[in-house]
Amino acid sequence: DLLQWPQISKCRSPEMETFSCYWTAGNFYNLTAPRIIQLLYKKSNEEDWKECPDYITSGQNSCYFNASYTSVWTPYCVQLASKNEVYDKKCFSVDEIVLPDPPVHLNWTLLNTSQTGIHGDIQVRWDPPPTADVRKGWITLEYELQYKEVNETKWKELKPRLSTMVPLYSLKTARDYEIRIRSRQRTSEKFGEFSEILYVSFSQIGIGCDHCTEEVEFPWFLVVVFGVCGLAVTVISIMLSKQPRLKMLIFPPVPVPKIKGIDPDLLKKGKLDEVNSILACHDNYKTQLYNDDLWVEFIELDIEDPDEKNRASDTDRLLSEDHLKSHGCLGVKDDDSGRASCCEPDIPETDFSASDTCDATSDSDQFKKPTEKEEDLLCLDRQDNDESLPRLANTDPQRQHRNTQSENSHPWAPFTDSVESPRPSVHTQITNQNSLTSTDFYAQVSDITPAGRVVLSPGQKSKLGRAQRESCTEQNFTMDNTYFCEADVKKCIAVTSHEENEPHVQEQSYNEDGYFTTESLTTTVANFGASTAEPPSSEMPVADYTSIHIVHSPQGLVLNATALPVPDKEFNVSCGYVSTDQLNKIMP
Amino acid sequence: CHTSGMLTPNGKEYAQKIPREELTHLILKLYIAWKEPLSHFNQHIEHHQELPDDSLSKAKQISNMVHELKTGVEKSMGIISNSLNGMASSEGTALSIRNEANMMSDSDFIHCFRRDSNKVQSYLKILKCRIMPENSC
Repeated sequence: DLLQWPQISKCRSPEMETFSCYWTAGNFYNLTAPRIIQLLYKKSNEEDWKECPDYITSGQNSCYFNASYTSVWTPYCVQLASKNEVYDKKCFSVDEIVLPDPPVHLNWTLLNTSQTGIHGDIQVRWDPPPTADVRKGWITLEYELQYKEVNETKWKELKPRLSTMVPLYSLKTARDYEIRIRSRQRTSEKFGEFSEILYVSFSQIGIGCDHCTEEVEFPWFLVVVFGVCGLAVTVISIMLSKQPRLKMLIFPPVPVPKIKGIDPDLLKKGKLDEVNSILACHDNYKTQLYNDDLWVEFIELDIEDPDEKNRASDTDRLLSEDHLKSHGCLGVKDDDSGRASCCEPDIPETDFSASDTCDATSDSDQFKKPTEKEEDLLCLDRQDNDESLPRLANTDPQRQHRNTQSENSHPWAPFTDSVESPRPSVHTQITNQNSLTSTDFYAQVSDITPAGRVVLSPGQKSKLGRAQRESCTEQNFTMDNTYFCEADVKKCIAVTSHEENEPHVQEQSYNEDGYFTTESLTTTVANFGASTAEPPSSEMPVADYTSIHIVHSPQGLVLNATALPVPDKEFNVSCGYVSTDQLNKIMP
Repeated sequence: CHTSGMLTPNGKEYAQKIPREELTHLILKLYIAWKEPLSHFNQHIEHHQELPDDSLSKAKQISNMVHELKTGVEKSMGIISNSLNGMASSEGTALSIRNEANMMSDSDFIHCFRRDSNKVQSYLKILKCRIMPENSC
């Protein structure tokens, strides 16, 4: 064995009023001659070592200093010595060695239990150590409580507190608990000894439930497993189900681009016309509407160059006049639409049709046209006389687009009654020159603007009766102008009305290609009646030109009346109608 | 410690026997005695590079607390007696002026301060118990 010297194990003051020092004797004490060990102490301001005043009170190998010997904030030094030797020495001050006694009188009370009776809350109370004068405040103590279940090994700690009671929550009523408390001075760090263990048992007060011993744990594992299985089954059943609605609800289809109203099958089958018709409903789709097919019906235009259409109005080309725009290679082929009513199938028609180039089309050929047209007109004159009149009356209300002048209505009425001689009103203002079926009551395509609009002219009602009483002879009916002004005609009629009879007028009519409106005839009639029918006042041209606004191809045409803009001064408004070239100047 | 020369009760019985005025006087003296050395110590500590910042902040915190305590005690002393204030301040300043405080090492300084603060705390508690009789001291 090793030799152990006597040592001062500790010096302790429980309440800062007394203190004790403890030492160990060591083992050589037995080996050698018994020695007497003394504990000497000395205050810092003293010189002599004094012996311990009390060796008994604190037990063996201890020295007890009572209150008279204790100066709290005074530094002490003690030493363990025998007669000659000093075994150990220690210096301290009393306020540093304060270790309070453990609290006493531990007890617990039940606060409440849970509804299931499995858990309960208790409150533990104790008293401070009796030696510590806590009441006067000489010393301030902190307490630390520790508890555990009976068969556990590790203590649970609560944080130190100043109060002498503390609640414990959520203790299992089926188990027993152990509680212990220790204290320390508030300003120091070392705790004193633990108190005695307090046993907590719920069954003693009749609360513990024996059948609650098993612990009900939530079966998380089972929940997860069953949840996953159920979800998988649901998803699979939805995927496999035939019900499209449910499928669409869960897995909505991704929308594909689609144009309203168009069935994709149409495009697949190649029914372009229907698609075009549908698309035409939309305003921005105009291009393919006026395709070449429409033209072919009436006129075969040798237009290989698509720019031709855009460059000049078709009417110019068709009119085949001197002032035609050049190299309009027009092969005019007559169709039978006008021919049928006119009957003679053997009327020679010069077939100008040429899909091949007809630059060779000379002006002579162009000049031929009016003559032929005259014949056609004549043909019409003869044949359509009977038809025109009734039509006059019938189609009167059909006029849609006139800016009604009141004076127009007057002549109509008497005219329908009184006119006996049918006055042909040949309507030749057509772009399709060979379609001679129409009278002025038919709206015909008068022009196609470069913008692609089709301009219709239902009939020229208005006249510009500027030239009033001029002589017919002064008029120069140029043959190249296929249209004669009504006003001119009217003037002639008016002038010659008194002298000449109808045949004169008829003669006049033969010479001209202009057309009469019933108004002019009315004027004529009125003149015959020796009543000076005042010539129609100068009017502004009626907005007889209509333009196609919207083409609902299967449904019809929506015509839009366009007010004829006031023509310029230079515009020769002597005519009751405007020739197409003049029209082009004013139409956009 | 520079305040070792002060006669202060070192035991509970002695502290209880002293009249209240004298006890407050002592407390005030201690405060005043420690006021100056603490400020010096603060400045001294700030220049200490080897000390961690925690110590520095703690030291400043403590000095501020001491100052507040002193102010509080002075006010409470004013309630009790005005005459004692002057006496305490003179003695306290006399103590503080001494060079002993400046010659102590840092650890001794801290040790002394701790002891005296503990002393003041105990005295204040006894004083509190005696002023408010409902605690049945």
